[in-house]
Amino acid sequence: MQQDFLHQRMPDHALSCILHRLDLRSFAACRLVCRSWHCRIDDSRVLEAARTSWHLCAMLTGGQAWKHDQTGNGGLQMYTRMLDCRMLHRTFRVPQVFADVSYMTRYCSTSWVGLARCERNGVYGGVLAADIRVMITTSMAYDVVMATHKCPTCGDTQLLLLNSFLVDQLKLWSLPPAGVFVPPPVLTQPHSVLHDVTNDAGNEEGLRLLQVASPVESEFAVMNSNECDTRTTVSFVRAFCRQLSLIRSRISLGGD
Amino acid sequence: MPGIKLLTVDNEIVEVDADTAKQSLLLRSMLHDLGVTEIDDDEEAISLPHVTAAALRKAMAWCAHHKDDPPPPEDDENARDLQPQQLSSWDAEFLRMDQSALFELIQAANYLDIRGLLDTACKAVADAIRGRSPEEIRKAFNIRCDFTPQEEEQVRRETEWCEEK
Repeated sequence: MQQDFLHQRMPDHALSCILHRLDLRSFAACRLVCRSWHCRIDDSRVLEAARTSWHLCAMLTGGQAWKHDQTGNGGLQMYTRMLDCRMLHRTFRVPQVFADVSYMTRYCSTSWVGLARCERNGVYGGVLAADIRVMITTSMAYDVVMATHKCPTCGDTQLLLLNSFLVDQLKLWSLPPAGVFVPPPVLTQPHSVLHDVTNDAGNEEGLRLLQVASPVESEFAVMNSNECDTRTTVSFVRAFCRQLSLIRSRISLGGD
Repeated sequence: MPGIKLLTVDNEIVEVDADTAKQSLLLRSMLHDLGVTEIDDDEEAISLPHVTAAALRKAMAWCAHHKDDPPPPEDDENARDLQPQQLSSWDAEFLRMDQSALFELIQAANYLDIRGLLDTACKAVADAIRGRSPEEIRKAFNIRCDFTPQEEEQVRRETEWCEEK
């Protein structure tokens, strides 16, 4: 009877409610309780979501500083340490950031606190998704998420840039390998930018805010065989090209 | 006060206050669909196949106590998780029960769709787990470890990353 407390008859939703409230260490302890808990927890997909979240969080912090939630109520959430744009730049080897002084200042002077969060039953296209939010401590800035991800379809490692001003949820299509942290790969050349377009109208605004780009637009046009990724990439590239034209006009009008 | 009759899985008919029962989204929608407003001796009791009488009474007691609470936010996990909340002393006392009773209550809250109660009960379980070692959890829940040492080591290795600081 007691053996079944989390097993079999505990409704999925209730199980998720419980697991979602645990910090990762307690969560790991639950897996070690007995076989039935272990099976049930692993079946719940929370483990995968936790691993994904942790991995991204580790990437955001260079694989070092993250901590368990100490509020007693946060579940599988982790706060990154303070980051700034330069740190993100180094971490991800972002190929190019436009030297737009006002925006660079805006982001560099901003302290970032990341909050990685799992979507308990989040499934996108049959693959587990994780929702990541990055909250910025100053009110004037917008939420931005940067990460590398490996496309499960084409196998390519890509830079993922999202602004939650545009989209509520960031979708990760890849799961990191189990076990130890693997540092994000150095991107030797620009990769495609994926954007989950749930709000087309906000596309350009998001691009303007992100201010991250490849030196040449062709390098952005890396298409994926995944239809959804392709659609979103195309959409982003179009918006980017428009932005690039604007910047070129500005340069030709008086810049160097 | 109008009431309704509910038939539990252990074949007991429990009469509950309709207003209280409506905190259960399942019962609210059932009552709405059936057009039931008050106890009628001829009225058939609504069958609840997954709820025991004891759990139903406990759930209704919780609903009665919380009847004036504002409705919980619509599945807004972000808001919920970002605002840590301790169990109220009433809830903590209310949930002081053995584990099988607590399990039945969670099952009832889940089936009846009483979100506030489900959250509260799950929080109590999570509180009982949080910060404990596997051995301490086993003790708390009276569970015997059935892993072989090799399996346990393997499972531990799989979540080593959780232990990092």
